Amino acid sequence: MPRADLLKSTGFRTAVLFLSLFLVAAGLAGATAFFVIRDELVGRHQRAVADEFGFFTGLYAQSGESDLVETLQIHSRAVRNLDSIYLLRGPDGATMAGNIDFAGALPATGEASARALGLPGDYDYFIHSGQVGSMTMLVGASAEDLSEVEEVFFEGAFWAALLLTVVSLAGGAALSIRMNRRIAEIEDALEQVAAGNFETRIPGSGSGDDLDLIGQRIDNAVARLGAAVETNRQISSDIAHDLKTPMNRLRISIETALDRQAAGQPVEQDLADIDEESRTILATFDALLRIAQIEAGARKSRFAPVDLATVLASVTDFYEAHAEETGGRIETRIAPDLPAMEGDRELLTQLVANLLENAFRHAGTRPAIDCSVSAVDGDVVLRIADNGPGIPADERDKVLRRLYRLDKSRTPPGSGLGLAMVKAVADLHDARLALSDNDPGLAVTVTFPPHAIGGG
Amino acid sequence: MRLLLIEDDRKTADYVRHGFSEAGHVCDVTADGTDGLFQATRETYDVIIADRMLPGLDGLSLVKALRAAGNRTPVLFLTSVSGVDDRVEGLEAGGDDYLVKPFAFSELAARVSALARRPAMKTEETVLRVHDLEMDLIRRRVTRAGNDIDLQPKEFALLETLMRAEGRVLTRTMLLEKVWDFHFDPQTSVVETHVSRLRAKIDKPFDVPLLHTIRSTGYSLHAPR
Repeated sequence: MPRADLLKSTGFRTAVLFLSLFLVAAGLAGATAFFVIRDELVGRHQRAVADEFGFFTGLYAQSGESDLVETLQIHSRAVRNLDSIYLLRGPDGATMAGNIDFAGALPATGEASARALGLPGDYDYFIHSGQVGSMTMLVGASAEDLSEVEEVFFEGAFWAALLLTVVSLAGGAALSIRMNRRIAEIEDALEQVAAGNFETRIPGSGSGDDLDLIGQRIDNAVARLGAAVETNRQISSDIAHDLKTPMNRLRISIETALDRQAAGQPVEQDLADIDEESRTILATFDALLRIAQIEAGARKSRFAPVDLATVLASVTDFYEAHAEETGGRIETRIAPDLPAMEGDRELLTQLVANLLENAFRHAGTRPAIDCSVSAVDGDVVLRIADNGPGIPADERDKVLRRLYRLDKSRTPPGSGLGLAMVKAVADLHDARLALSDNDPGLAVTVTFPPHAIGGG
Repeated sequence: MRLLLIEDDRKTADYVRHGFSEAGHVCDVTADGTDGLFQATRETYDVIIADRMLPGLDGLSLVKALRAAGNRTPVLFLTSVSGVDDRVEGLEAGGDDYLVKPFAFSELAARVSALARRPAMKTEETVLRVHDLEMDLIRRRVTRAGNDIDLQPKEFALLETLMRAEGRVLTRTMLLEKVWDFHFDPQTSVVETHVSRLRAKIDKPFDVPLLHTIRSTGYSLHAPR
């Protein structure tokens, strides 16, 4: 079976997808933040140069030209690195004060590059210029800090993205390697199951994550499948075992008959034995097929209202004679006002008959069998209890299986199909079948849910 | 008896025809449903034995067609074990009896002869008589040679079934169906118990036995021959 390629694995693809989404989202958020901050810084610079320009205009209005020139000269001297620039020109265009040596036309209020102002540096200046009396004045501030912010920002974003990408891809790869390993474990386990090893279980990580849950589900399904396969295997081998013995007896009877015939002796008895033996074999097949047919559930379509009390009465009536012959007794209690129920009368008759047969077979000498039909919480409950040895608690599920017999020697009479048939009929009626201790003996209760009229 | 067997399985057909021929009956065989229907309407038969699954026309449709044409010849259906549930369907379609394969020939023979004489038995008799045994169906009283015999209700039903089939063999399965309405075969020998109890009441106190056990087949009630 081909193993999943790392780049195609769900884990890695998920990591890449999330990384891309995260990078796009982070890029958008970063760009937004960047532009908001930049706008704010630009605004501040513009306000600062406008304020300064206003201050100088006010000074000129209050104190006159000489004070303005003097103050500008002080400011100009105080400035280093040309963070701020000042220029005052007289009406004739001659420089009166300022810290830049610029001969061209003064740029308008706004932004101007350092080069346009004849200054070094590759950044812009925020400019505020205009008339002051008959003179012209320029106040500017460098946008160098803005460039620095941009630089820091983009550098940070680049490294962050790089780190994120590396970590994500590495994490995705690690995750998918881990997932691939666990998926490979599941694949291996399923291959084992396909090869018929139903004992295989998927090793979980113990974290209870989704893969663990899937693993558990698969384990449960495999366990059930294994049980079903085991049951079938059991049934096949039981059938083989169960039929081998009578088949063998049949063969011996036939051989004996042939020998006797060759010797000129009568073979009537042998033929009668052969007849009896073949009937037994056919009866077993018949019962097996009948169970299979009941389990198929087609008979549900023929459900009709049925009175379980009447069914019980007719069956106990049939076995009454048998009880008396064997020195035993059957006691029947039928509760009044039973809820209405639907079912297949024929099959229910067989269910009751099989339970009674079973009771008689195991009750030994002087069987005492108690039968009752009662109403419990709206359900119709059939109970048949005997005074035999009962069934050990751990065997109670198994006796409902086809051909299972408590007595491993398989010598007592009975097909080993009676209770399996009871179970099939109970299941068909959605009834609960329970085996319990009658102390002594076995009590079988079948609880029939009331069927909605026309339903079922 | 003149019988028609419609069966496509050669082995079963040969087995059945051979059995009936041995017993001195005539048994025509066809392997196809359409041929069977044609044959059934052309000749007069005592009983028709038809397989449920047939080429041409299936057994169920065959009987429906036969009944629609006003033919009332009793029909016995044969079916494979896996089709046990078809019994009701078969009877509803107009079949008279039903037998699941594989079957013992004695079972089939008993059922066929029961069907062949059925019309004579459905009269409104109120008193059944076999030799010196009398059953009054209205007063529900049984006497033998003038002596009252006290019977349980099911014993009465069993005896009535046996008396109505006077001289014919009733198999265990037939008794289970007719008397107890059981359509399965119980493992324990309860039928034998019921029959022996009945025998204890109607035969034991008298010199001549009427109720006979037919080995590995069933029971028959008849006057001494």
